[in-house]
Amino acid sequence: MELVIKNITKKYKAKLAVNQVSVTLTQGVYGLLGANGAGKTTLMRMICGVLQIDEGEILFDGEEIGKMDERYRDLLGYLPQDFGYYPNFTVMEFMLYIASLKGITGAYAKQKSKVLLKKVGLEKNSKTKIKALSGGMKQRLGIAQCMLNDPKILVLDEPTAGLDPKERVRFRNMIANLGKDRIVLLSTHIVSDVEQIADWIFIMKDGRIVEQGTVEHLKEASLGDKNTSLEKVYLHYFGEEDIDDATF
Amino acid sequence: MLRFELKKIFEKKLNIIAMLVGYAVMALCLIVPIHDEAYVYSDESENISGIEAIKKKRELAASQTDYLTEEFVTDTIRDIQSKNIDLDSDEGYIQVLRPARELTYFLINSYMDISYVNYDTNILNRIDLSGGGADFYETRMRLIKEHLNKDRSFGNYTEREKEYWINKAEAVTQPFKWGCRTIPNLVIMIFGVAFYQLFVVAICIAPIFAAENESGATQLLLTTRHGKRKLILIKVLAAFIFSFGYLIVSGAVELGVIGAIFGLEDMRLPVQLLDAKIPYNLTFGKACALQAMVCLLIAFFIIAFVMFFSALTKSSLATMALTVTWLIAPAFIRASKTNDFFNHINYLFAVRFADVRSVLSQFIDYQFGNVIIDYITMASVVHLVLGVLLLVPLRKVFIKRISK
Repeated sequence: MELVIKNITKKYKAKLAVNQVSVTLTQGVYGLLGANGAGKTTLMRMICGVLQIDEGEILFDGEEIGKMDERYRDLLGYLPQDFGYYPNFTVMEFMLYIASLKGITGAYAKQKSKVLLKKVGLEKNSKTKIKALSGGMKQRLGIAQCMLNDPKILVLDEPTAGLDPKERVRFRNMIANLGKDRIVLLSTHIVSDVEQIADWIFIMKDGRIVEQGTVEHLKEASLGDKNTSLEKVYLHYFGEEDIDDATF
Repeated sequence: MLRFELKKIFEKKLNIIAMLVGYAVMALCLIVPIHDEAYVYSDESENISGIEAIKKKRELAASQTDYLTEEFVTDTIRDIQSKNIDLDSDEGYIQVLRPARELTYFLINSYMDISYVNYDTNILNRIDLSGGGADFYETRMRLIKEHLNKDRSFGNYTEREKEYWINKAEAVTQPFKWGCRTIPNLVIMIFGVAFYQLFVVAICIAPIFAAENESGATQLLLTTRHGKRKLILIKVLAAFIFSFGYLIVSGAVELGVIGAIFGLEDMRLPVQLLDAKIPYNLTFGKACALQAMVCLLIAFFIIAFVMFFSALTKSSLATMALTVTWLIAPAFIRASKTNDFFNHINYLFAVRFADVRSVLSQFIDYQFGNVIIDYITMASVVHLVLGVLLLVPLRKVFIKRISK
């Protein structure tokens, strides 16, 4: 199982949102670390086939994902940023709706939804309306809907944004388990989220992958110190001087 | 999927409010005209209104004649002329026009030009009966021919067009069956109400694509197996099921109420009771069935229009505004009775079909070589074709707008 991203570029008028990105993903958890506006969401949307690629190509097991069409989408699970749509749907209704969109219907859809809701700890909230859920519960619902079609590729866009520390730990544990037999790509600007669970980290800045590797490699490559923190590595790429000058 | 798409339409508070207001308007448009119907006994002993007045009017019409024969019309006009009263005066109204209001005003309309400017009640006093008769049916054809042969600066009828309309008008069954047209008038008002129901439809389905973009859900939907094809089809289906369901239920309820209170036998009367010069050989029932078909095709186009702009603009509000403008703006454009290019376009707008009498009274046609297509057929075809043309690229428009 291999997802190859080759020289992909996305341009919005004068700005290059994603600039000649090339990476290869196999089984495991990949972290995509970058500041706001680095191009993470744009890259993820192109991987999911939501945004057109201006240049380059994305191949899954050697086949271009555009040509794979529905077959590729059958392999995909996506959790967008700011998840929380259809506020008047109940949790179960939403799961069944997404299941039907993924081609899963009938009794199997109901059963699968129940199993997944139990896994994310929402089995008691199946009749609760989405608008009544907390931020953490919405994100858990987002993970549950991702998993309906047993995806081989899981793309999670800032899944822990807005969650309290307890929810974030719970999330990390869930994601760590998911990466065992699939490709999980997780974008964030919260360093601690990826430090503990990612097998491989991409650092993205101004639309480019400026560095990639294991946590140890990144520490060594950027600051020459294996014992430093990943936060310092982050600041190395995204501007420590701004922090010193900041006033509150 | 269909169940959930319909749920999205019904769960919005704005949509529920719009539907309730639509039904309230429908109820008002039924109750008020019935309530306003008035009948005054000839000795002015009683003045009744509402359902009782309608029943009385039907009794009166039944007592007058079964058919509008030349003899009956001549006798009626002779009787009016013998009273020697100015029909424009209060005395003329009370003594001559009001006692047989439907018949007298029908006769006045029948003898007036198609494009009359001033309403002339005294026309009945000027009809020459010296030849032995009122020449009712001859006058009808004469007025139609005068309209067709009139020399205008633009919009003159070709010989082929004149032949078409004359043949059509002559094919109308004569003598006209007579009866009370109050019930048919109530029924044809359904189409006026249906026009306003299109606004409800526009409000309810404007978010069908736009709301997915507004909430950001599109990016999730497009990553699912059916998100790029089947979902679009299901949304289109949901929009049509909801819209046609709403319109048909509204119309059926109105028709059902009218039928339950009064019965619908009067729908077998000829549409010429609206205007003797109407060139279509139809009963009210058949005309309403035809009008219903045209209105459903117009609704098909409007639904397609709303969905197209919902996908294109990504804004529910912009879509609603565009649709309302499309529906309302033509009402402010003056529509004359000439057969020119301007009217060929003008008369195709949805608002023109709110008034059944106006639709049936037009001598508007579309000539292509030797082929003449009447206004009603053309409107049906145009709206069907435009609707299809808007639906065909819908998927591409929706996906392209997101993925650029």
